[in-house]
Formats: sequence, structure tokens, C-alpha cells
Amino acid sequence: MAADVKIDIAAEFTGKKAFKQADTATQKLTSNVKKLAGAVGLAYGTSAIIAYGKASVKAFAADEAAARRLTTAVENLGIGFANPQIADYIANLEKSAAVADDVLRPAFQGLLTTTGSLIQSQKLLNDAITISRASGVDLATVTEDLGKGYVGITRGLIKYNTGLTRAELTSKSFNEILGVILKRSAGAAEDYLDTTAYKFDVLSVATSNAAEIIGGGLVDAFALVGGGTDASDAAYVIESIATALANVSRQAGRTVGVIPTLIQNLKNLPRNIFSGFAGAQIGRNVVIPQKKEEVKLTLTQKKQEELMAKLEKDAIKREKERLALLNKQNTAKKLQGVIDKANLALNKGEEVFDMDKIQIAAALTSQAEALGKATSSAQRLQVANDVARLNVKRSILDLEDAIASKDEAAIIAATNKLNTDLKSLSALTGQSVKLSDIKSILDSLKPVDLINQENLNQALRKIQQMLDLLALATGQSKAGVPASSSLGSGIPAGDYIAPVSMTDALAASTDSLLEYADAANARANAFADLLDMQNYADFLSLIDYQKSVGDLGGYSPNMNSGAGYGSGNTIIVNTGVGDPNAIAEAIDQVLVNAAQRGTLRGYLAV
Amino acid sequence: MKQRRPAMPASVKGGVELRKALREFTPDLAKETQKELGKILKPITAKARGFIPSTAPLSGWANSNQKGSWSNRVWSSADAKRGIGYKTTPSKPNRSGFRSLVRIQNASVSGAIYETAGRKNPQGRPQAKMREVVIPTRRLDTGVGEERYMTSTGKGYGKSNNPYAGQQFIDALGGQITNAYVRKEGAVGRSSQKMKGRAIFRAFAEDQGRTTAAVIKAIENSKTNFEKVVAKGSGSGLSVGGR
Repeated sequence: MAADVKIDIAAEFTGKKAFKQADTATQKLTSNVKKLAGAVGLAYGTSAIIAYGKASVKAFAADEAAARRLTTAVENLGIGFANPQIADYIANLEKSAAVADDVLRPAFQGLLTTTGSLIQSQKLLNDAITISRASGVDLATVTEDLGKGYVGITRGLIKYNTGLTRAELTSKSFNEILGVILKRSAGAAEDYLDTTAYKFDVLSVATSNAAEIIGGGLVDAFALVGGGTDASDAAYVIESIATALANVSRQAGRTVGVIPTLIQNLKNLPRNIFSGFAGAQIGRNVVIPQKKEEVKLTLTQKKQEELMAKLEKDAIKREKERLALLNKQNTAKKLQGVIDKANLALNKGEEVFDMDKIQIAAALTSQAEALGKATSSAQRLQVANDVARLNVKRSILDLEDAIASKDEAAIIAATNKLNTDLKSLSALTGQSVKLSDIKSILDSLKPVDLINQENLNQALRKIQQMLDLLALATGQSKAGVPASSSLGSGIPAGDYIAPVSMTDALAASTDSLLEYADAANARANAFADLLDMQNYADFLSLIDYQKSVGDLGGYSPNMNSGAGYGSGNTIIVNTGVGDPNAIAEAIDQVLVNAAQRGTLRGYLAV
Repeated sequence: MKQRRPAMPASVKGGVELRKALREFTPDLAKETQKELGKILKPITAKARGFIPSTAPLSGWANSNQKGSWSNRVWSSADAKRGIGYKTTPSKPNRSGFRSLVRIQNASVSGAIYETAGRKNPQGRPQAKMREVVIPTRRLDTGVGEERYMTSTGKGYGKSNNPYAGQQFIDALGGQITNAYVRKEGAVGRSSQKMKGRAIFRAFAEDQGRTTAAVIKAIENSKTNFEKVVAKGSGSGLSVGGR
């Protein structure tokens, strides 16, 4: 609110935000165009010119350094005369494959130093380009992998999806693997030439070369301005000019008049533009002298051919040596493998045909036979002594085997066994012979007593007991309900629990009294159940009897309810011998039950 | 509602860059320019401060126990006078793309109110027509019903229940609202109302453009002096840059 209360006395139009956005978008859109335009002198400002100039010088310097490294590498191989041809080869390959020379040179240099052969390097570089196009892996990586593969390190080639296993990569030769890769990559390089990416690559290479070319010109020009010939002199001049131009541009628009002139100069002066520009800026008349052609002594054609042949011969020789060494290594490896297998078999054979063990086993068998024939204690003692010695020796052998196998558990077990055997032997040789020691030693020779008569008899006795119990259980299960004829009242005579006397009751504990009471109660319940069964049996007997006596009208459903139901008849119940009271209660119970069922009316005198 | 653009100030090209250049390469010249602008602008600001009343236009306005939205609008003659000043630092661009280089401002809250109250509605903001507001209600005790009341509030209208509140406030402020906008010849349409006020605008109007001319002249002078210095430094082969 308060901010609106103001009077603007002076203001400046700095452009709308939308204009700025449009400007930004335009700048982004034309950033690459600016670079290219800068190369032909259409830069839009001092900063662009200076920045591009610095980048160009840098690109030129990098390219020059790479070229020099390659040249040195070629000269070190003794074929320095071939540098122009190599440069042509790189240049042609750059154009045909659209791969920048600053990528090709290090790749070629690596292959050349690895193979030592110009022909082989060129072939591998071409193959690398094909593989790179097909696999998408950058050329530097492919070249490095091929170089390593050439010397037998084929591990890196697995990334090219050869379909070969790691073992196959190791066993196959480099040429075989390369053949597989090239077969799978066939046509990729040609197909790539039709792609848009290739066209972009061509443009990129052209732009880079333009930068390098311009950078080279800048270096020459500025170096001369700086009074020297090195790139450092050129860099100094560029920095100075950049600073001066930047300062000038800050002078309230004065630069505006300079830039068009500068651009015009750049456009109009094709060769000496930078020297002219720089000279104009610092007030010096700079004239770049024509570069003198360097005169070099050249070898004769014959000599060159001889050197090339020697190079290739050396490369072939080295490759042969490498292969021979490889074969030698492989042979040594195979031999070692055979030896290992033989040792393994030998160890197995030693176990089977270990003479010491055979002898000990035989001796122990012999001692066992001698023990069977021994008739005196002295003979038995001698056998025991020999057996103890044999055991010690066997334990020593076992311990040696365990140590050789480096099995800790086996070593400990063998050591313990040896100690035990030594103890036994010590006891025997110390003349303090005990019968039990001798017996234990001799028992170890005896076969295990598989059939023990005593154990067998005991088992038979157990089986007999089980059979008896089984028969008893079977008989009980088949037994009928006890009848009064067999059991009477069911309570054997004198079979009762006498009441506890007062003296005993006072003396007994509460728990014992309760236990007694429970036992008596259980017994009474058991006899009550027995009595119930007896009563039921009597009832059935009565029914049978009624059926048998026809005078009473025989058995009919209403025989006890009809008019002819007899009365005053005497029914004799044969109860057998028993407790009269119990019998009377049983009869009474039968009658009560009959009355409850409705089969009995009136009363009976019992 | 589309706002009208205020009166265009004097347009200067390269003013911002010039100021930067002055500060960077000729700090002494920059300070000198600042002093010169201050000399030009101080009289008009002093005059504007003189239009600020020494006591509260309304007795209750100076009460520091104000509540609500008026709690930060308490009148203070000192603050109101202190808020009047000038600035020479470039502002952010407005939506039209202009950056103010030199300006006079009335920055305090109470001073701004005194400055602008009544410049749009000299009789105070109109009172909206009274209208009845009906709010349906459902109360537990009386059941379904409604509440009714009369109001006259609304955007752009006076919010007081006193329909004469605005008029009374403006009358109590006193002073004289002056339009500092100079209408160009041939201009059509309604002129901006944002150049009207009691303090700085009145002072600016009474100045009749002399300050503006002096400011522009000072800027031109500084530019000329800078170019002289640069030319002198360039001719001698010395760098004019501070870095």
C-alpha cells in the first residue's frame, strides 16, 4: 500500500518478463548455431568470440597433443616415415566412419603399440568400429578390449554377447572369438551409415574439426602477437584481449561501435583475421609470416618397404613367441592336471594296497586264530602282547593319515586311539598284568556274540507270560454273567470288610480312614452291581418258569390282568444256597419290578 | 478492474548500467552523483514533510490502544514525516518493464493514509445499500427459524455502519489533495488518479517539474563525467576497471 505512494522521477525500460523468457528460449535454441556462427565470424558479442576462441584453442591443443603422441609411438616402432600415411588413414577413417580423429588416434595408437603391426592395427581398428556400431559400446572401450584380447586376455570380450561361455573364451584363440563377434556384428557399420545418429556424428566431427582448425589459426596468430610461437604465448594474448574487450564493453555502450567492426573484420579477412583484429586492438601492425615448409630427409621407397616388412615380421615373430609361450603355459597346466589326477588315483591305490595296513590286518587275524588255539595263560598273554603292538602300529598309521588329510577331528580321534593303545601296551610290557586287562584285549579279538542262549531263554519266558495273560483275558471276555448257582448271592462267605475298631480308628490317620472308607464303598458298590445282575437273572428264570406252568394261563401279555388271574397259588422259587436275606430282597425286588411293569397285581407272601 | 497506468516518469536509457558503471569504475563520481541528486530531492521532500500535520488529524487516531486492523495504523507525526524521502536505487521492474531510478516516496502507513485518503472518493467511500441478510437456523429450543439483520458492507464500499464515516474522516484530515499529473497535450481519456495526494504529490505538483529536470540533468552530467573519465583512462592506456 505504502509502496504505491511514490513519485517516479526517472525510470528505465528494461523489458518485460515475457520478452526475457522469449530471449532465453531463443538463446537456448540458437546456442549451437552460435558456436558454428562464431566459427565463421558471425559471433554476436565479444564474450562469444572470446569463449569460442578459447575453446577452439583448447580443442586444437588437445588434437595436436594426441597427434603428437601417435607420431611418437609410430617413430618408436621405427616406421616414422609412415606417419603421413597413418595421418591420411585416420583422416579418411574419420570421414568415412564419422568418428572424430581425437577418438581414432588414441585407439589406433593403443592397437599399434599392442600388436606392433601396422596392418594388424588397421584391421583391428576397422573391426573395432564395426563392433562398436553393433554393440553400442564406445570405440575406446572396444579397442581396449580387442587389444587385450590380442594378447590373450579375453575376459573383456564377454560383454559383446558372443554366446561363448567364459571357459570357451579362455580356451578359444583371439581370432576365433573375433570371428564370432564380427559374424554377429556384420552389417552394423553399413546400417549405421543410414541412421540420423551417423549424420549427427558427421556434423559433430565437422564442428570439432572446425574448432580445431580455428584454434590452430588462433594459436599461430596470437602466439605471434605475443612475441612467441607457443600456445602459452597465444593464451596470454587471448586472455589480455578478453580482459580488454570486457572492460571496453563495460564503457556505457562504447563497445557497441566496436563489435560490428570486429565482426565485419572477422567476416572479411579469411586468413589473417585474428592477427588483424588483435593488432587493431592493441595498436600494433601484426603480420604473420608465411610458414616455411619443413624439409625432411625421406627414406627411399625400398628402405621403407624393408622397414615395413621388418615391422610386420617382428610382429609375427612376437605373436608366434606369445603363442608358443601360451602353449607352453597350457601344456604345463595340462601336465599339472594330469599329475594331480595321478596323485589322486595313487592315493586311492595306496589306501587299497597299503602294505603296512595289509600286514597289520593279517597279523591281527593270525593272532585271533592263535587265541582260539591257546591253551595256557602264557600263550594268551603272548597273544595279548602282540595284539597290543599291532594296535599301536595301526593307530600310528591312522594318525599319519589323519595328519596328512588335515582333518582336525580325525587327528584328535586317532591321537586318542593311539594313546589308549599305548596305555594297553605299557600295561603289558610293565609286567603288571591283570587278568581283566588281558581279557579286555582278547575280547576285542572275539567276534560279537550274536546268539546268547540265556537272553533267548529269558525272551521265551517273557513270551510265555504274555501268552498266559492273553489267554486269561480271552477267557474272561467269553465268560457269561455269574449266576446264583455259581456265586450264590455273589458274596463269598466271610468276604466282607470288617468294621474298623475304635482303637484302630483313633490311632489311624485321617487319610488312611478316608482311604478305607473309599475302599469299602467301592467294594459295596461292586457287590451291589453283582446283586443287580443276579436279580435280573432270577427274573428271567421266573419268566421261563411262568411260561412252563400252563395252569396260570401260560404266558400272555394280559395274563396278569385277566379275570382268570390266579390267586392263592404258591410259587416256589429255587434260589439255591445263599444269604437268606439277600435272597428275600432279590425276590422282593423282582416282585416290585413286576408290579411296576404292571405284570403283577395283588401281593404275594414271600 | 484494470488499473490505469500511472503517469510515465522521465525515461532514461542505460540508467541502471550507468549507475553500476559509476559504482564500479568511478566510485567517487557515483558518490558525487548521489549527493547532487540528494540536493535536488531534499527540498521537495522537506516541503512534503511540511504538509504533514503535527497532531493527529482525528483525536482518536493517535490512540496507541487501537485494536484490529487499525492497530498498526496508529497516527504518528514523526513516523509520517520520517517516511517521506527519496531513493535512487533502481527498483524491481514493474509489470510494464520499467525500473524506477529516482523516486520520492511516502513510506509510512499513517503518512500514506494521510496522503491518499479521499483522492479517489473525496466524500468518502460510498455506503452500500442496506440489505437484509437472512440466515436459516435450526435451534433446539425454538426449532427451525431464521436470523435476519441489515448490513451494507461490500468490496469498495465503506465498512462502517455510519454512512457518513468516510466523509467525516476526510473532512477531519484537512489538507489539500493536489494532482501532480501533467496531462499531455492531445491525450484523451480519463487521467490517472494515482498522482494525487496531500503531501509528496502536492509538493511535487508545486515544484512544477523543476526537480524532474534537475534529476535528469544530474544523470546526464554523471554520464558525461563518466565518459570523460573513461576516455581519459583509455587514452592513457590505463584500465578504467576496478578489477
